[in-house]
Order: sequence, then C-alpha cells, then structure tokens
Amino acid sequence: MRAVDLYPRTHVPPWRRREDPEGADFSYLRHFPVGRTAVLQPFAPEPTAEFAETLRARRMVPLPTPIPVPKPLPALAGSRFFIWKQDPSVGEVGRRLTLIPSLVVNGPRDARVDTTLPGTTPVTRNADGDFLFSADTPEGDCAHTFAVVRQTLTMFERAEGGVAIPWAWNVNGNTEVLTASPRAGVTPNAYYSRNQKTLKFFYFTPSGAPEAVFTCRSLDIVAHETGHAILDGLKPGWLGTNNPPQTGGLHESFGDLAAVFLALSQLDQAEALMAITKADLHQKNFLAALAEPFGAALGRSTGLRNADNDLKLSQVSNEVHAISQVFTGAIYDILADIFRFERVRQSKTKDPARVLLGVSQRLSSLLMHALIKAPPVGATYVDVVNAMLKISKEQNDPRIYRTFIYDRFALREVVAAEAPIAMAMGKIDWRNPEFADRKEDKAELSHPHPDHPSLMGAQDRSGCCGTMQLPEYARDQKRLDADLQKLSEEGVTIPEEALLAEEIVELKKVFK
Amino acid sequence: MIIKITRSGGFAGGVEQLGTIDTSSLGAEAAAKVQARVAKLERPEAAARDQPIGADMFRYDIEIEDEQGRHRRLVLTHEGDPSVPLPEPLGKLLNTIEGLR
Repeated sequence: MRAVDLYPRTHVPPWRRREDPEGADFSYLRHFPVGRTAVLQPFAPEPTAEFAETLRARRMVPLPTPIPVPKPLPALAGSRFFIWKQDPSVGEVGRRLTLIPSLVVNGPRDARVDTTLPGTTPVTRNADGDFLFSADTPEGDCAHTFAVVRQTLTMFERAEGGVAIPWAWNVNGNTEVLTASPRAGVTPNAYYSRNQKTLKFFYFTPSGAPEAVFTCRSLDIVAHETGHAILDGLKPGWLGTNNPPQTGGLHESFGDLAAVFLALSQLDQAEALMAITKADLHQKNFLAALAEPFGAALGRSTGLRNADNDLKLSQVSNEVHAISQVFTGAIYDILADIFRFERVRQSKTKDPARVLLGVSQRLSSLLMHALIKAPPVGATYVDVVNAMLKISKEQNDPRIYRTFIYDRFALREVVAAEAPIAMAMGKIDWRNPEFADRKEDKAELSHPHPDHPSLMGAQDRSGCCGTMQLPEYARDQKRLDADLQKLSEEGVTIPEEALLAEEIVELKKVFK
Repeated sequence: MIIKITRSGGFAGGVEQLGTIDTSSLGAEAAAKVQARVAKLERPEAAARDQPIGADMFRYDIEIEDEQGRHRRLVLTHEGDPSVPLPEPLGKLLNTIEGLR
C-alpha cells in the first residue's frame, strides 16, 4: 500500500526531474508538513537471509586503507660553492659551481667540518644559502677548502653506505668537528693534526714566481689532507712512529688516492679526462699528476707526485711519501686495467666517462674496506692486497679483477709472485672476465722479501745502526688509546648552532 | 761527539740533511753548550713533551755518536707550522749548524 506518492516512478534522472515537464511536481516535498506521517512501501522486497549473510560477510572484509594525501618532500638542503675542480694551473676543468647537498651554515660550517681564517670567518652565505666568492679572495679560499673537505668525506661515507665516518677524536659521543684552516701561514706545507683537530693549508711564493701558491686552492692537496683525517678516524693506530714505513706509506697513498677518486666521482672531470686521453688513463693527464703547482715549484712537470708511475719497492726510499708511490701506482694501474676491461664490456650500453665513474667508485670502496680490514697497527701493503682479493671474491667481482690486483702488486715487488705474471708477458685476455694467471683464487699472498726495511718498525730500525730511540718518542697502541681517551675527556663543547643540532644528536648516537 | 740532523716529511715528503756538528771542531765552551742541548733533548721531561700526532708533519732524526763511538738516535716530530716554535734545544742546535756554515 502506498500512502503517499513520494517517489514517483519516472525515467527522468533525478537531477532533471524538477525540470521535467512530463514528471510530477515535487515541490511540495520541500514543504511536507512536520509531524505528518507517511507509510512507505519498499520498492525492493525484504532481503533474503542468504543475501543478508552475503552482505554481512562482505562487510567483514576490512575496508581498503585510504590513500594518504601525499605530503611534499622537504626541500633539499644545500649550498652552492665555486671550487677549483683541480687547481688554478689546470685549465681543462677550471673553476666551477658545485652543489654541496647538505645543510651548511655560515662559516662555512656543518656538523662535521668547520673553517677558520682570523679576520674572515665566519663567511656569510647569501640570501639563497650559497657561498659564491671571487677566486682570489680569502672568502673564496674558505669556501673552496670547506667544499672539497666536505666532498671528500661524503664520498667515503657513501662508500660506507651513508654511515658517518668518525674523526679520530669522535669517541664516547664526542662530535667535535674537523677545522680546516686555509691561509694558515707562509711556508710550503699542508698537514693534518690530530691534536689540533685541524687541517692546515699554507701558502708560499716559489723563487722567481710572480704569485703565491695557495695549497688550499688545490683539490688534490685538500683531498689528500682530508684523506689523512678520514683514515686516522678509521685506523687510529696507523699514525704512530713505531709503525713500519709501509704503514705510513699506506696513509700517504690513501691521501693521494682520495684526490684521484674524488676527481673521478665528478662526471665533468671524468668527461674531460676521457676527451684528453681518448679513454687511455696512461696518457699524460691532470688526474695522475698530483698537486701540480706544488710540483712546479720544485721543477717537476707531472705534479709533486705522479700516480701513473712504474716504481717498484726496490726503487724507493723508506720515506713515507716516497714509498707511498709504489702503492698508489699499483692502484692507479688497477683502475686503468679495470676501466679498460669494463669499457670494452660496456661499450654498447654506456659512455666511457660513466663507465669510469662506476669503476672508480667500485675500486675506492674496495680499497677502503680492505684498509678497514687490515691490522690495527703495523699494517703492510700485503695485508691490504690480501684484504682486497678477499673482498673482491666475496662480492663476486669478475675473476680478472683479482688477476689485475695480483699482477700489478707482484710487478712492483709488493707481493711474491706465485705464478708467471700475465701482465708482464702481455698475455692478458681482456675480453675474458674469468681470466686468471694464478691457479687458485686465494687471498694468501706473501711478502717477496720479508726482511725488507720498509716492513721493519722503528724499534727494528734502531738495531741496524746500533742506535737508541727514546721510548717516549715511540707511540704504542696503549699510548694512542690514552691520547684518544684524553681527547674525549677534554669536552665536547661545540658552539651552539640550532640549525645543526639535529644532525649533531644523530652523530652522538653513531660515535659511541 | 758528532750530531747529525736530518729532516724529512712535510707535504712534499723530501729528505733533507740539515747538517752535522762535530764538537771536536768547536771551542770548549761551544762544545759544552752543544752537549748540554743534546742532554736536554734526551731528558725524560723533554721526551715527555707531547709529540704532535698527524700526517705530513716534519720528522727530525738526530743521530748522535758519543766520544766512545756509541750511536743513538732521537726522533722528534714537528708540525712544520711557522707559528709553532721548535723545541728549544733543537732550535739552538740548528742555529749552531747555521753558524758553522
């Protein structure tokens, strides 16, 4: 029974019914008197029990999670800097704009690195948060030095999966920064000091030169010193004078290789290198020549040191920089070898510059992890070579990578030859990823001359010339640990910088 | 007594023979001063001076041959920063070498 024809049947869609001349007049519905009752007859029959059950079951299915309204990502913090991509004497890449993709405050300073130059710092960033200054200014030097230190640290932290690498004093929650000091004074030097928690870059004018050489303007030198600070954080026992010369050589080599790998982490530098060398890393180039202006001041045409060298262990002295060239040269050769192999293998899919970027990243990561695995004190080249072979195998690198590693270090008399060296005989099959000249793929190479002076510690050196060394001048591990403890107790006060507070809290958790 | 001083290291990493002092070629007073400076460098309190720890600093190797022909060597590290003075006895020994030239 229908008491009121509230819902007249019509084919006209509801939103047009009011205008339907053929339809009923609904206007009265809006004025339906309050209190008047109507008995409605349902259009559909009562639902069956089966239908009701089905409906109930459907309702038991959880409702789909509503798609959240997307929140915009926070804007990427970052500042732009002008940097010398190599140094002022290398015209191929010059001075360019670079982005440091993290929070940098006036100084320039961030949670890990500070800059100091009395009378100049803190250098103020512009309204866009950038540090853009002319080349020949104290502000420009501060900005360049900070940017290169930061880039070097970031590169190795990325190789560590993004984990912060501590400075040597960052123990027990200490988060003190490393302070870079450009224009630290007049002398031909640059150094890293754990005691002072600093990198100092000096300047000097070579005799007859029209202008001064500022060591802080060299990407190679800044990256080199930063490399020392990074390695000291990872292996604090390696800077003691009681270590054998090869341990010091590893430190120096890591510094020079940090400069090589930093340059190769930047696509513009890799592209320039490809163009200059026609993709042959053994052609003379700005990458292999380290600290060119410093070298020029000493009358050397290929930089202060040349990473693309052929030096063997028997051809260098035990001075740590001299002996470092053997290790650096071997790693540079391995870089060139792997690049040659991968360039052919990936020639159809990648530009050579991009291949080089990838090879460099992989090799720098392999080297850093091998250094980490080496002994905490007294590490030798063989320790690192064996660690490289082991890690390379574990990460399923092509076998030919390990052939390159073995061959290059055997040629330089760093490891004993276990088998004829294919590289020396020109028998490398560059297209075979599994090419090997050793029967077994082991990481148990040994020293060719176990009594080589470069393997002897300071204590042992005293025996050869009947000398005495004051024990107080020789640093053992206990003393180093005590130094670290002392450093950590000196306080962790960093001037408050609200912007960096969050990052510093995170670092405290990491630097236990 | 013969004292030979060598400096190595720094960023450039060279090895430089700074010079040799043979006290037998000096007057008695000058020889006594040199011996006193060496003795001062060898004293425990001098040796206990905190040595800088770092990289690309200068290393001074001081080789000493005494009157009995016995050899000994002292090793000192210095930052190579002109604003940080050398340990006084070493600085004076180097001044003596300069004076002999």
